[in-house]
Amino acid sequence: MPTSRFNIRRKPRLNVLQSEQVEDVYMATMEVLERTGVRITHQRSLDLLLDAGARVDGDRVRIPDSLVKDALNRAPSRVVLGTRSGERTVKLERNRSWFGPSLDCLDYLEPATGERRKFRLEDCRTTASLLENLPNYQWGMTFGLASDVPPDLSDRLVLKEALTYSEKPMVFCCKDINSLKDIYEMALVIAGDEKQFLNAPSIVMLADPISPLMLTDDTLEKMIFCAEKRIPQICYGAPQAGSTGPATFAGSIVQGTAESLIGLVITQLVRPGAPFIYGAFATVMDMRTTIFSYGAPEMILMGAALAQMSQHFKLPYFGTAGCSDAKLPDSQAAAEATMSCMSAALSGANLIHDCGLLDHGCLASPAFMVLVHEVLDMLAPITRGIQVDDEHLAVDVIHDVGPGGHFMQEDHTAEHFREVWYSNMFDRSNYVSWLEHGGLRFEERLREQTLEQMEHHERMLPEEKRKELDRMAEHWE
Amino acid sequence: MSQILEQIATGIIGGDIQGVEKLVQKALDEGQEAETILQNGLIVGMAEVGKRFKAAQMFIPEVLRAAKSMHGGQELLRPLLAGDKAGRAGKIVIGTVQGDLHDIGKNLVGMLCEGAGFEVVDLGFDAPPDKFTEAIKTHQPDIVAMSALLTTTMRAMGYTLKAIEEAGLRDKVKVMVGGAPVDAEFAERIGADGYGHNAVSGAEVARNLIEAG
Repeated sequence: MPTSRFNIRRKPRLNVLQSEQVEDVYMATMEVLERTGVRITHQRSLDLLLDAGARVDGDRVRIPDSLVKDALNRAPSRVVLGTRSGERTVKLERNRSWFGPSLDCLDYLEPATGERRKFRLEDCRTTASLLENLPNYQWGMTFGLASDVPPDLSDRLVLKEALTYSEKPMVFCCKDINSLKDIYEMALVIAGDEKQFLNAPSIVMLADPISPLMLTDDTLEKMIFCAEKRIPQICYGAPQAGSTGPATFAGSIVQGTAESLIGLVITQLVRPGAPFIYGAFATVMDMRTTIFSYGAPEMILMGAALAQMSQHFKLPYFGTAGCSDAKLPDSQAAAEATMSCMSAALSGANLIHDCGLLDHGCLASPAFMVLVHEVLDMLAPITRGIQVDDEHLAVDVIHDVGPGGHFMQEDHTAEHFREVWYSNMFDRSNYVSWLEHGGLRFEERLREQTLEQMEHHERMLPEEKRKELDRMAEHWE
Repeated sequence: MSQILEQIATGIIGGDIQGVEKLVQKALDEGQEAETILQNGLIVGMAEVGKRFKAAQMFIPEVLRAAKSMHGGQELLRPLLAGDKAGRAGKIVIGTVQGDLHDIGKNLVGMLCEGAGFEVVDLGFDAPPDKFTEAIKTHQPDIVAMSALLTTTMRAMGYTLKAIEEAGLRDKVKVMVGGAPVDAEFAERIGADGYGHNAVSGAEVARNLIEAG
């Protein structure tokens, strides 16, 4: 059974907030919820909140901190996701980190030709199969918005493809409650029945508040449905420092937290214990280009702070890493993704998405998925930390070898040298051997290895279930 | 190939130092020729080790254990092998040159050469030119191997070579050089016969120099 590769006890910890600052952020968030509140027009949500003690003034809802405290007490502090076949694999708890790809890309970067084109439904099969072959990704997303199917059906069709070709749990977005009902039906067919689905939920809904501080009727309908059915869900706003959020980082963290916690309050009123995942995509608006940055150091910093907040709340956290503003899986992309992956892992983010995403959220790239997968491989030894005990302190072997000796033939070396990480992609050979092996640039090796990975076979859903999904899809509208 | 020779080769690959010695003894007791055991057991195993290392399937500590097993087996066979070299690939005098205290690379080449069947005389580090010339006179090696890590000390390789020439010993030995700052061009400039760009290729260069005569 796959477990998180990150030993949570020895894992080095990145704290970007002092504990006093965590309290400050929390109190400021409570002040925003009590003073400013959020805009909600959805009647059932308004009724629920009013009954529970919120102050409702037209479409403005102000929430006292006691309501948030109640919700935090009711919410599960861990959520476990499972594979299509019911194996509980992704444990969202404490500082365990689980990486996965992205969703809703408009474009696709062909790994063989390097051509950039619109994302098509068939690309979901490629990316889902690739996901199946890359063990450092333990869960998936639906990758892209298929341009070759009716836009109203795209959300379900891409998820159907992803669930057909990969076993791993999938995070999805959907347009409305009808889509969500279709998706839930699909998940029940795949799991067998509701009981089996609840044993190891294999789908997670991503719900987006509109920053600043709004939740639409559609979003609330979907969130309430998920809470009722105990479908795990993420409530994840996008405070973009300087445009949809305040320009200061602490302020964007506060607003993002308020936007997520209002979702928590509503879901826990609907059904105490409904699985909920906290988070926010806090990043900066690039004031030179207006883009929403996926590689900014401030995004990385705020992401780490939000992870700390989640540990304070004892809620699972949805993080962002392994993505880039670059247009190709190039050096910029590698630098940005490496920094965000390391920070996400060490800050203890749980469900970390957007690995393999380029061009600030527009471009899905299998080659970049493979590159980031190797970055995660390289990260594993760092997150395992340093084992300190007599055997590893090695005083005896240091004494036996003594000054001027060497360790190459010691038993201690033979027993431990395999603790060192080796890459199959990053080159450490000397110049002469590198030339002898063709002197390949990194991009050329990446292309070759991506195509190799894509040759492997997907794990197809059993035929009778595929047929049932096909029958269901005929009635989608 | 008989089963025991296969086991010896497997033992070498697995770095089973005691196991290889026992198997070699057993093979001798069973009446196998020493030369056969060497060629079809030990050397077959070590050749496979070289292949696997190149393919990144084996790591240096494993190669060194294999080399040590090879060496142990060979020592048992040596008294029984005919010829003045007694089954040895040749003799190497190796050292880190004057002014340089870095010897890990030199040690590695030394151990790999032993594994490849050479008798290795190690002069240690910071070895002045006359230590090399004296060693040539005393040990009469086939090859002199010099190592340096620093751009400032690699020049001492040239001085050592000159000292070997001046002592009239240059035509008695092949000279090979290696170390991080050393490249093929430098080796040629100072008049060395061979250059290895890493430890494993160092051992190969030694074998090639012997084969070329």
